[in-house]
Amino acid sequence: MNRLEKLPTLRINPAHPISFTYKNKTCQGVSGDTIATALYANGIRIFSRSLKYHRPRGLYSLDGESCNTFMEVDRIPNVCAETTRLRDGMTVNAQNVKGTPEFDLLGFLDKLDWAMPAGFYYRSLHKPAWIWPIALKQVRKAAGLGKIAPDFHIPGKYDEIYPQTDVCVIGGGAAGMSAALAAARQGLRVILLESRPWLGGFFDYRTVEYAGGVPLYRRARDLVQQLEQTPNVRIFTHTAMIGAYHHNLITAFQKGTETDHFDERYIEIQAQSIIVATGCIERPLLFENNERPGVIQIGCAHRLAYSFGVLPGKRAVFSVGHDLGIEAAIDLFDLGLEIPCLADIREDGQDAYLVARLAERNIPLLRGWIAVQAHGKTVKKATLSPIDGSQQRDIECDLLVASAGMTPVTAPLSLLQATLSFDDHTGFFLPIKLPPQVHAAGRLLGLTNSLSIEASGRLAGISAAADCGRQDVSKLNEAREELSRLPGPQRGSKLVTAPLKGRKTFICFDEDTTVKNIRQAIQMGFDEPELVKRFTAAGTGPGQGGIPGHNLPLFIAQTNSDGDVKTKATTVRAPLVPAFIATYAASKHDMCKRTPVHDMQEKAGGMMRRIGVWQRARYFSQDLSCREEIENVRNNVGMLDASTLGKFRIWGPDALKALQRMYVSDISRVCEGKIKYSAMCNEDGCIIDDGVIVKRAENDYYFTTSTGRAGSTVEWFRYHTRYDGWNFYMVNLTDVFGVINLAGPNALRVLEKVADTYLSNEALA
Amino acid sequence: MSLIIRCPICGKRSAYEFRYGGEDKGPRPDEDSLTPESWCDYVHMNQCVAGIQKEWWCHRDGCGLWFTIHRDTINNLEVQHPEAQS
Repeated sequence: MNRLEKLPTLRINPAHPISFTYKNKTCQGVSGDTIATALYANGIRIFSRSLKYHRPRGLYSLDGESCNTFMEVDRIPNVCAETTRLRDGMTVNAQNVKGTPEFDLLGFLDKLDWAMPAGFYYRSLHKPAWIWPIALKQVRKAAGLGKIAPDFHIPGKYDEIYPQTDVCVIGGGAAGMSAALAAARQGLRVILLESRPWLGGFFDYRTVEYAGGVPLYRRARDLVQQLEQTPNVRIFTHTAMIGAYHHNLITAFQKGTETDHFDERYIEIQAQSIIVATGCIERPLLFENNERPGVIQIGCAHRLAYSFGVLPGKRAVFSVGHDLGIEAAIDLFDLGLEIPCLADIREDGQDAYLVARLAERNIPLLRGWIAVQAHGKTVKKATLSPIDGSQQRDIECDLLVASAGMTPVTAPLSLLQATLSFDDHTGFFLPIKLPPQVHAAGRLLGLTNSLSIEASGRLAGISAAADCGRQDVSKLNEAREELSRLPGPQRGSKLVTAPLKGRKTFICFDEDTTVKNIRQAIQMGFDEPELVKRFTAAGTGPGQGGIPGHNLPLFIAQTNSDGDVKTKATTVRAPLVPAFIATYAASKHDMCKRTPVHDMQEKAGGMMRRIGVWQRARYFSQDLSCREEIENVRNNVGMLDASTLGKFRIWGPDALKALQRMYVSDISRVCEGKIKYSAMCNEDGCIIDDGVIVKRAENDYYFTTSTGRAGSTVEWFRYHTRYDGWNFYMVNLTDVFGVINLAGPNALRVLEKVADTYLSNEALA
Repeated sequence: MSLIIRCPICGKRSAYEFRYGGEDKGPRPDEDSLTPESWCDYVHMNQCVAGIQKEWWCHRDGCGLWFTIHRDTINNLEVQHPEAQS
């Protein structure tokens, strides 16, 4: 498929092709592609089949809000194709499919939805009791996501880092970048997290004017350049936040590129102050077959063309609820997409400039219209209707760009314990109370004006700097004033649903939950969003509420006949984005110590084993009973490498006092140049260690401990003398000396050969 | 865990670097009059304060120092000036 190669906004490099395998056929993508965009460019429209009904599903968004594009990649199931970079030689397959994604043998389940009302398995599959295990097996066979081979070991390199910072900014759009710059200019250390592989957010792919003739994408790249030139800003791209904990601890995971030393890494950031600038995602439009392949969101269509150089279709009907939809239609029309009409839920309030540009291109604008149905396995036709349902119009198309409005990404704020409340003007859940040292900025506050978005970022950055002790009152007031002069939050679009039963109108894609299911749950008395969520499973899939998160509470508040139900968001929990367990486990940094005679022992056939932090020879014979070895020590002589034992020197005026406290024996009875064996106890009187003590001089001793306790011995001595203020010094000599233990009847004879003095039991006594 | 501890030598560091050493219960009881019961009480009987507690920490992965801090056990935050709080 041809790529649009001339666009200045492109994030791909068409000159660098990448080959991969899909369904055993070699396909071509280009450098910069995600798996999903490469497949889309190869004409793939059906990516997977849905969990319950095996309905065909395709590309809908590009940020992994649903599991539509979860695929099996190099035998790893449930890889999100939208957010995973394409790599050379990848093997990609569809999952939850009997046959092919295009012809799934279980596709008939879609017709059986009448038999599977909301919560049917809770209600019908437990009577009689013996039916459940049988039903369970069949359900497991038909439903679910990917399958993993029991013997599968995940390949790849995993890592972990624990950076500390003054300010952590979540979201690398215009607001986040402005915030990071503002905080960094106050001399603070800043960490900036961005889930996409590049910074820029909503600015990155748009060509409309920012100010003074500069297009938005150019402005975004300018901000990126400024950030890259600021040494106290550390940028993590392709890094999704997964959790927020007490005391502003943020966890995230990063996907690596070819040049990184890891494939994925876990990041735990300790920040003084946090700025959430996560922006918005789109709120799905609810209509019949609203999740058919060929129905895509505005940003998805726009970015496919402007970031990835893929014209998303030939003939597209638009059904939108905000100005970004009109802007996308104009941009895509200019690239050659045929647009028979653009339906806008709003009766009025469209940006006049955009409307004029639509008119220039002869694209009819249907105010107060909405898509009510999509037809075909992949979209062939769309039915549009005015909101009151008074008439219908069918339009042939191969793409239906649909979006009801914007919805703020508030999950990080919720995890940080911010209080959110539904706002009638924007239709958003907005933060009304933020915890100390947490700030919010940008589009998630309902701002749509580019200058306002940046100004709110700057204000947040300066406020966060104040949290870290860099109070700058004049700058703070300046930023406040600047923001107040700029346009505030824009009116959002209301929830509008097509006037239909909603049998195939999906509110949650991951769990195959329809509008009809929600109505059934409400009729059964589940009035709270939290209860409806649990009963219908809406929002419990891997997308973590990305698709239903906003529509569900709006729909319940609108549908509930009591009319007294407030619009309430459901609880958000970590992890916000699915991450491999391997990423949490990170790498096994197997660092060990080797004794001075390690190589010699290995040459002699020693089987090395890990003992604590050490590698130590366990035995030398092929015969596992080690009979020969043991008999030789008993009857002749044997040598043991005891270098791993803890070895310490303790000296100073109070050294003897400290030893007396730690050991069970009376150490004062050890004479100079003599050695004594003794044991240490814990406070309960249990023996925890043993070793020998040598008196070198007055208040100067050398002593040994077991291998395992060598690391904590100094800490142990200091702990038990912490109230006393005794004056003694300790040095850990464990790694300084090697130790050989000679044993057996001929030990003395061997020792005599290497010693330069006469040795006998009498002389040593 | 997201506790930040101020080590007198190394400054503010993540609690991952430290080892907890229990409540600050004062010096050991006098050895001359020590009984098994009084020793057992000293070792095992804790105040388990719900609030600000003085306790021992060791900067194990740093300078190795044993020192005391005040920590609010309810919100798991170090308290710099406990006098001001009470």
